[in-house]
Amino acid sequence: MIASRITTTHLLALGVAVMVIIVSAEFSAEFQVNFAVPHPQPSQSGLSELMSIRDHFGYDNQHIIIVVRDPSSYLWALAYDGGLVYFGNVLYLLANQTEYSLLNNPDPQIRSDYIGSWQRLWVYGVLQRINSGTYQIIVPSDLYKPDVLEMQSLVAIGQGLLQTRAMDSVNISRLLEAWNLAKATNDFIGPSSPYLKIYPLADCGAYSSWASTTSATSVRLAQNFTNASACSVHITTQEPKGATTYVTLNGTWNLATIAYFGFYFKGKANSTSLHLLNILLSSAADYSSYYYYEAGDESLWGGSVNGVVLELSQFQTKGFPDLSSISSIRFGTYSIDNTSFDYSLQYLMTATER
Amino acid sequence: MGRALIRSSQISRALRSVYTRRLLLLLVAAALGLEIIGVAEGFAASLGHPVSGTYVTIPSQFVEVASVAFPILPYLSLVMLAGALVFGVIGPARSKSAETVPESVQREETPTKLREYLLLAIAVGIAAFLVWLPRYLQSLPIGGDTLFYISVIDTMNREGPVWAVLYTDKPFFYLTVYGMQHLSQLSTLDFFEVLPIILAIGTTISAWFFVDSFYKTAAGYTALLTATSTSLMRTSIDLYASFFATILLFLTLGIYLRYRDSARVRLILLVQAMLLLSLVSYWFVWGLLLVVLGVAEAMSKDRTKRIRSFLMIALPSMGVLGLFVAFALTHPPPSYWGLGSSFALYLGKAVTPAGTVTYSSATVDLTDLGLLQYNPVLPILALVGLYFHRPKNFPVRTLYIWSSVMLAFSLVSTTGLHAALLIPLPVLGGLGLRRIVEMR
Repeated sequence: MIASRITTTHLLALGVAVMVIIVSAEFSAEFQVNFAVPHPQPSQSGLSELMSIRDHFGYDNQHIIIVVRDPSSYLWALAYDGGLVYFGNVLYLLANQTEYSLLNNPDPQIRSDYIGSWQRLWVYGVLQRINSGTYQIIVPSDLYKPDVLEMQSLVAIGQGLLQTRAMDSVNISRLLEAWNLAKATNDFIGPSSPYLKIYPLADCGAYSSWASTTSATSVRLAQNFTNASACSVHITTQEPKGATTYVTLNGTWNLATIAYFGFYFKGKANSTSLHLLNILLSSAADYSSYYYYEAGDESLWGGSVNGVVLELSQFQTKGFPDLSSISSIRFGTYSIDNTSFDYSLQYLMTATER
Repeated sequence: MGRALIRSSQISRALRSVYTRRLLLLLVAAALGLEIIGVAEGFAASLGHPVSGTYVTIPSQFVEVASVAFPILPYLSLVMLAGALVFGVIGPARSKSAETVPESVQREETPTKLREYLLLAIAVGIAAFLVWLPRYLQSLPIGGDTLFYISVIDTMNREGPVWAVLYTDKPFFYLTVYGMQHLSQLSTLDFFEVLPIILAIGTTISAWFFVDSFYKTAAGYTALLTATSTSLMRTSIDLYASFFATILLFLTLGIYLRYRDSARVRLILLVQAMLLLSLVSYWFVWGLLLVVLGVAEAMSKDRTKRIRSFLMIALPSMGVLGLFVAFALTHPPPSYWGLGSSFALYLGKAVTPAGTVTYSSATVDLTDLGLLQYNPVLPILALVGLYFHRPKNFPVRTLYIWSSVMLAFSLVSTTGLHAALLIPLPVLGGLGLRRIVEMR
């Protein structure tokens, strides 16, 4: 009876059905392997900072507030340290002000993380007592990467962690105002000058010594593009795919007691792929030992003037460079595709805290 | 002469119907065979075990060529599914034999229970394996939201379970997870390795339970396709609340269809309880249930009586929602910020210390339909399912309304992901696959 019902067509159909399930399972396994992965994690040093917080202050400590400002760090901080994690700018938290750029951010993840972190602080009554001394506000430096103005509200407590310093509300407001001005104008040099002692690295006479390392790069002395100094240096380069070309300024500088390195920058790059501005500070003539910083900020290349201030402690090292005897400074451009760069540099400076 | 023509025409038709069908099946089988081997080769290579040999590149090349069509598949699927839904409603009626799903619970075709349970067991095993696999390969928690869920459960461990009622819009879901974690005695981190596997098994069984209530012989195929669906895979990464709500959705629909077949008090109370649990687990799914069942009842023959009965069933959960909203109005944040007050969150409004903020407006967005491209099998089988099953009876009408609502919502930015995951492709695919297996 059963045998009479089974036909070749039926057997073929059954075979197709089995194969359909196998193919479907394979697609799913492939999907799982490719997409079911951990959320992008912070750097190893960032994770170490979160672990340091847990080891030092305990998990889920209700008396500390951890401040981060990117969605990935926020989620990892919640999982590693629990408790009160604020997503946003530390100065806004100190000033107890709403950060509307996050609240109305076009990225739903940023909006949701900001509102979520804010909700928790509100529910626990933290916002009303933010400056009462009840809470210790901790900033993991590698995760947060504070800028020069934010650094004015922070003090290092070891293991890559920073803590907010005691400040009155007037100073907090002033600092927040300076930070907002810096963000609005892309100029961190001007607004941070009341907080820093600034030392120009070279005068216009020395600027004529800028030299390129390849023939594809032209470098020349040019007119100033800000009022900070009288001249600038203008660089154009046609960069082959995957290469880095440099312009160099030689001299002698002792940066041992220096906290910041800065410059004005104006540039354009005709590339939609990844491109970087590299800064090298070498203490060896052959560049066997140097400090370096890779600036991947896309907004640098928008054609407008940027006042950049970098914390020297954020520079990475190659070999064993010595800050007290820097003999050469290099600016380089890198792109993963063929790209032409056109940029100007002015007012190279270093700075210490006042 | 005329008699000869008729005779030859009959032979030709016979050849076409048998041989063409066999040829078609053979071609499909050959294509699937190449796809199976090619994908397996690619998979082995991605795990660091490349396969080498003279002809081994043929399946891989086939997969490569086939995958060229994948990026357009979501849009193609959207058009074809929408077309199939419209055709099902307004298209010419098929012969009676094609309408295999009866108005009420299917009784006439009783498969061997052993076969159905065997298919279910295989499906459960596949679902558990596929969800376990990435957790075996990775050492850190998978997905971004997992980290968030971990922090919520840890907060409940500190603040007590009532915290979930006061400060979340999914209290029952969080209470269940919290209770499960305590029962398991695992650390929060370890528990979130196990939870998605439990939810995957639950979803597979509940999908089977739903289809078993109206088309017993398709339930096993539905379970198998659910276990291997992109919806289950994507949800298992870190969308645990959606996962949990999907289980409730299938169970509620399954119980409702059983209640419709036999309106016993026990079943009425059970449906009411399930709707209530859906509301306090994921109100979006509760809303979907009310819309799908309500509209399907409104299209029934005895609609007045049916809608009255349905309202009686929906009333308790609606009343509870009213209580939540009233409580939220009398206890504004930060004293209460739960289901009642965050009801508007999905509509793009959030209550904040700075007042109510409207941060989002709905736009048409096809991004979430991209999920359809990762497993082309399901949209194709769903089309077969829709083609052979017209909305002439209540269960299929439910599926049509459910598919239409979710297809529309999946194009709206604010609801896109939830809706795209809730398109009942595995169920429609199960009906389609059953139809293919029925070929003689």
